Amino acid sequence: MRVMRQAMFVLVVVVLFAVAGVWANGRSADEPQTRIIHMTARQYAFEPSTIRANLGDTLVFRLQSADVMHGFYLEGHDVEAVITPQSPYVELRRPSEPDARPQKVEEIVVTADRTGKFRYRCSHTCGTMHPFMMGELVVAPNRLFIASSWGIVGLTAGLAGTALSSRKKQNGA
Amino acid sequence: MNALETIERRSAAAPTGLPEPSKRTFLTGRRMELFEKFPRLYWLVTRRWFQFAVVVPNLLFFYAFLIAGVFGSPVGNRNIIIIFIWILWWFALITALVPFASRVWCTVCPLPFFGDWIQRRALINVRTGRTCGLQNQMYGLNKKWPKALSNIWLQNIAFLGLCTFSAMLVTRPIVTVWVLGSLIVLAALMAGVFRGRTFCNYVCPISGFLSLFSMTSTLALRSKDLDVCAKCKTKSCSVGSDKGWACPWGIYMGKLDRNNYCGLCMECVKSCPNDNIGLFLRPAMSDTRIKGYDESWKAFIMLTLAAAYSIVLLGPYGIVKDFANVAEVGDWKGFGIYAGGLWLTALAALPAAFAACVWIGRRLAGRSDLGQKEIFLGLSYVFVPMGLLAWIAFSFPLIMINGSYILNVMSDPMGRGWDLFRTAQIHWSPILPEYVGCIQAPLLFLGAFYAIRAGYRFALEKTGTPAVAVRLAAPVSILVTAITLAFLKLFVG
Amino acid sequence: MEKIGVILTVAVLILTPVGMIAADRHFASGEPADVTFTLTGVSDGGVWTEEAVVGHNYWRRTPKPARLVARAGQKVRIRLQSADVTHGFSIPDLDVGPILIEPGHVVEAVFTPEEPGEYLFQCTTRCGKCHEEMLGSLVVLGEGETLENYPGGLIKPRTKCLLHGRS
Repeated sequence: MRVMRQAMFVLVVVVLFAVAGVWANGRSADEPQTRIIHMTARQYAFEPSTIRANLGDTLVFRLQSADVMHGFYLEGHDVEAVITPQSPYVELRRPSEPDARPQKVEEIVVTADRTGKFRYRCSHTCGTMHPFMMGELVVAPNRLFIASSWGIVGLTAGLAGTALSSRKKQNGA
Repeated sequence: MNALETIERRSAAAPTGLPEPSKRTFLTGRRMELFEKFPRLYWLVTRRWFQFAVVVPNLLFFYAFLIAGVFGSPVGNRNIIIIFIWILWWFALITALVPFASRVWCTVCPLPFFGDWIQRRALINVRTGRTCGLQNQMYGLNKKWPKALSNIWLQNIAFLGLCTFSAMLVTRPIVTVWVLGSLIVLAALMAGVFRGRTFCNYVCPISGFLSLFSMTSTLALRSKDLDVCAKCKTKSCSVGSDKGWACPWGIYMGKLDRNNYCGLCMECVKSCPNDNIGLFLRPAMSDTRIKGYDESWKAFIMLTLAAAYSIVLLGPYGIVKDFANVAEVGDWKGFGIYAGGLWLTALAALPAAFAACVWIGRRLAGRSDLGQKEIFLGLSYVFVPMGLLAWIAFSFPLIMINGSYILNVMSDPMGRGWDLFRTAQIHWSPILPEYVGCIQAPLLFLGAFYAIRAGYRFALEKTGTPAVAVRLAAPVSILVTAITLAFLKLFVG
Repeated sequence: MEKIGVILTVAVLILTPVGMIAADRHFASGEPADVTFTLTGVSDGGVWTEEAVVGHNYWRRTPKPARLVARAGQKVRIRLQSADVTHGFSIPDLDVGPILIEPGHVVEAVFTPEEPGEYLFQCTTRCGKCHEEMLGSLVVLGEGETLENYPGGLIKPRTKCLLHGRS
């Protein structure tokens, strides 16, 4: 069927573009390294607001608060901490173990063992904009972004291709 | 990818393989009539008490939310009015109700409840009589809304204005109370002065985007057979009868070819003497005609707001949050930059970029007979599927990250230490937050797909020749791609 | 039919607030005590207050700082809540707290002061610019004492933040 053929065509183009994109850009060049991150939380942002790392890096977070009590929840890495103002210690808990006692630690060590964008969010109500207080950890190579952005270019090309090959419309205005 | 095929099928004189081809309707292509399929549904919506029965529970909830907003905790994420309206209601509205059930929200909306009561002096029954050419007895002044305002520009500006203050609106219970409260009062006042649902049609800021995005919906209320409408002597849908009120939205079903301004109140289903109103299930993105600049600009505004919210609320940029959060931070200069940027993008920059793409497309196509306005309006539809899907992509993290707040406020709606269902103390726990991007990226793809496909469909309809059509729509499709890339960068990049 | 509609509507309008008030009463009653106070911490302005800090007044004004009064030997219950960020509550001289108060939750401190005197309470978790001024006192009156003839005078709360209004 013609419609199915066109759909398949677009799909193949999208996948080809996505695969080509990841093949060309999807490798990390740098050796894994240890990054020490001094993170300051304030109402309603983290500083640094964006952390770029490579797959395999070790990230050491030292957290402090500039004003009130904040939280630090790192997506995808089973980390949630409470940051108390004027204290070098944070209370670390693992969301996967809700019943375990929080630990008092000075730094949180995380291995960047998966790629993509992971947001760190405030997890302790800290004022009006609390639900929107967040930062981003981007672990390269960000395959989802590479594949989807190349794929969207493929989609545009594929749709133009099918439009070109479609039959003439008899009574065009 | 049956895009272009469908156009061909549509243009064919007699659609074959469709149910009862003798009937002429505004719906072409695959469809299913739900009243025939589910007689109980038909029975339900033709009961006089139907709308009352679905509105009253919502009235109760909204009333309780307003009380909680006034007398409950000022902390937004511990107050039910914020969580239930800006997380639960918003998510349900944009991801389910609008795309799959059109303006069914308007069926159950409690905001015009008192307005209707003032106008009809009846909650359930229908009154027969004569008012301004209608077959119903109506109360109030029944004035006509000025012609100059009979469009959605007021809604465009109202919605953009409201959303400029979103950082306060979605975090402070009292601001939401003010907005919802004013809408209820305004709806009641306007119902006393103007006829029907003038408030909903031309003023309500929520109605504006419901009308635009309902075009994409898989549900549609339509005349089952236009020939029956043409022969109909009473036009009860439009003027009312002893079975139902005259369409509060001012619609004559024989002319209703789009979802935009039908509030699904089901009065016409009750009043139609020919049983000629059907509720149809149809493919998504079936209404594709933008009829005026007001609707085009609504589409620009909605897309811009989806981007702005994604940057301000879901982005890591603390300074932008401070700009938007002016009532607390007090940086009016920063707020000016933020608000100015938002208004300029929505009302001027995006439309200008789009107009340029349309103009380049017309030059590439080399068809001087196609006017700029005609192509501008036609192609501006691409921002409807794109905007809707961008909004859906924006809304998923709201529920996946903050869903546990819903459980908290169910038990403790006012943040005053209640525990109705023993869920007040549940710890904030996002659901698979690291996979939000894996949902958002495909949604953006779907939006770009529908948008670009619609662009080419429209271009082929206008030009008739594929090669020319591709050239006409190519610049716009590239704009769509660029905007989608920007959204991808924000969400997963 | 129409009558049922009107009755239902009126019932919704009346019963919703009545139900909410009843639920509020129900959940506010806890451990029995001789005196119960509700104390709300407000970061902006740095105050502990007995006033209800709720949606409609939080953004309008800074509430009045609290001075709680009890009699020696009375069992005192303080319902603690926060109107914004996490506060901490402690009365060091009575060995009460520190208790963390998270916004939107209510925690209680129950104790029985035996010795008359004025006991200061403070915020123990940094809560913003006015944190240091976030003080209040519980006056425990002895036999025959009243606030008016209180011997030695009462501590005046520092009100720099209060006078300067909102930060």
